[in-house]
Amino acid sequence: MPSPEAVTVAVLNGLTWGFVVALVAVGLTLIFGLMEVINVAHGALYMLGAVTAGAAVAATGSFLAGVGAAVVGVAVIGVGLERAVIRPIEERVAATLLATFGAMLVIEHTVLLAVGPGTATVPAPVPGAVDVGGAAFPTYRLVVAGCAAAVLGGLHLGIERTRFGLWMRGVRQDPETASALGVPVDRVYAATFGLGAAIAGLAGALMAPIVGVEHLMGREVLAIAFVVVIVGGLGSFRGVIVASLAFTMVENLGTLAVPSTQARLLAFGVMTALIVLRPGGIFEEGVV
Amino acid sequence: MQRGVLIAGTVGALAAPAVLGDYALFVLTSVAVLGIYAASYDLLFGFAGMLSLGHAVFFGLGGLVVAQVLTASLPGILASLILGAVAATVLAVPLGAIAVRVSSHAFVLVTLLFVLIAELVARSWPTLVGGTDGMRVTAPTVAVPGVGDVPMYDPGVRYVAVVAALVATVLGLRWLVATRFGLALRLIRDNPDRAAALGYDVRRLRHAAFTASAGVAGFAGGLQALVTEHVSAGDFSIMTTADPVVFTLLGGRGTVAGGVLGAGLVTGLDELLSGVTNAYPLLVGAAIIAVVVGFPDGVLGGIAAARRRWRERP
Repeated sequence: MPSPEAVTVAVLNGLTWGFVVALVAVGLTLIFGLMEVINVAHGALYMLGAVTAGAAVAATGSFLAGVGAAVVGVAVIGVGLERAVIRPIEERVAATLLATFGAMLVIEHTVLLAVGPGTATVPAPVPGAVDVGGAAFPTYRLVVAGCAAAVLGGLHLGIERTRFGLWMRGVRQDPETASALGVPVDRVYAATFGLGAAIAGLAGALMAPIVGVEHLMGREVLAIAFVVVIVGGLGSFRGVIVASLAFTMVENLGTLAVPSTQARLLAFGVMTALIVLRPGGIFEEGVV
Repeated sequence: MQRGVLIAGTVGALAAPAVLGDYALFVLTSVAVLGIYAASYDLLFGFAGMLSLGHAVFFGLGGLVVAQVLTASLPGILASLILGAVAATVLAVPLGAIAVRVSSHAFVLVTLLFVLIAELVARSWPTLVGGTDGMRVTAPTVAVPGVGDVPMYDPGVRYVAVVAALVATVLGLRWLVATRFGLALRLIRDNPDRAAALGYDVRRLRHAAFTASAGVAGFAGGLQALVTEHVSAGDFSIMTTADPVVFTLLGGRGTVAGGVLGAGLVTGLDELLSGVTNAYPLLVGAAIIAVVVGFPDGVLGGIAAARRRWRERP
């Protein structure tokens, strides 16, 4: 039987990682819900966030500068990607998927050529650990979980309450009518893509001190993000958050009993079962 | 014209062992195996319009079966290949049932989930394919009636056998897509609503395409194990599952032979560049973007378009 401290740590790890995965996956699902584009380069954008943060921290010594640089930098690259690669193609699933796959290869390999192989470390801005029910949990991870949850909350409010959020929802429902009513549809697409990219970059920057920076680090996150996006329902904001947490919780609690590869397998198995039971997503509000 | 090219190509290909060295033969044999893999994928993607990212599950399973059969010293290379194809087909039945229930966008990601699980399984239980490092597969001699013992480790022999298998596969698939089943698939690809309105059982036909292409992919995977004499968890990786997508896209989807061409182009590029630079993935990535944006019908599509323009010149 695992000790209560071990369980506490597992739950906290699950929450932290779950919110981070949700940050990446929410970007994917927003982009998909709006533009019907599956952005395979999303994991690479997460990686770029980590790389940019690492470089900025090394240059300035300030983690805040690192996060800021990551968010802005990756947002810009995201908009560039949308303009250069996605805009010229009609939105056929295959075409955008393949084009963004190509972009992923290009981005990852450019980073490899620029910074070399191997994992770079980034010092955690908040050292030390916190006592949670007898277990020591790194303070920084709590900070990451808090930040991620706050950003997700802010995003939700933004979509529901701001004019831009209204535009997003309108364009998603009916691009032609929205355009006829004066909504700058193209700008909404570009901005949404940039926003999704920015939060992926933020996630990467936040995780950099925890997992290190490596040019292929986005692949693992991307795979999980894809899965939780379908389980949550393509385009469903609340669905993807629930699915992300479900995945990471199952996986982390699983590691208390079995080796990590099998714990991950278990988590994927649960996801498969969810897809079979609810093909339209957890809340059945996914695009069908 | 096309038949002429096919005949000339086959003759030329079969003459190769007389002139090429062992390594060149190995490369061509690998291309042929990947061509079978890509051709199986074209049935699903090019003709049925189903973008699956899970094809490596079946490819890897074929290799797994062959590896297990040969490791157990059971006789029959051909039997192990067929068993691999059958195993893949059988696995495709439930997986396909899950996958065709969801939307076309979710289909892409559900098939990806399959391959992620398969790779984890392969890594977690090393007795299957030797985990990440993999295991060796030795191809013994084959007793061919009337010819005697044929050494399967001879590169020339392997080459001829695999090329023959490739030609048979391409011809078989081209026949299949010309049947009513193939026509129905194309209708479903181009206009699923109309197909349903006309009374076709879209879901069942898609499921059939999924299983059929899986079986051929399993066959290709078994050949891969024999040709490379190695299997590993990498046979179930994302890159392996992306390969046929890239090959059919570059070569021309919906043509069966396009995948073979794509496999040849990518392998050739890899061979040419690996001595010069290690920016290979970058170039493949750039090539994919260029093709998708500029030449969505791939090389064969580009050739067909050029021929049309030539014929229609004023």
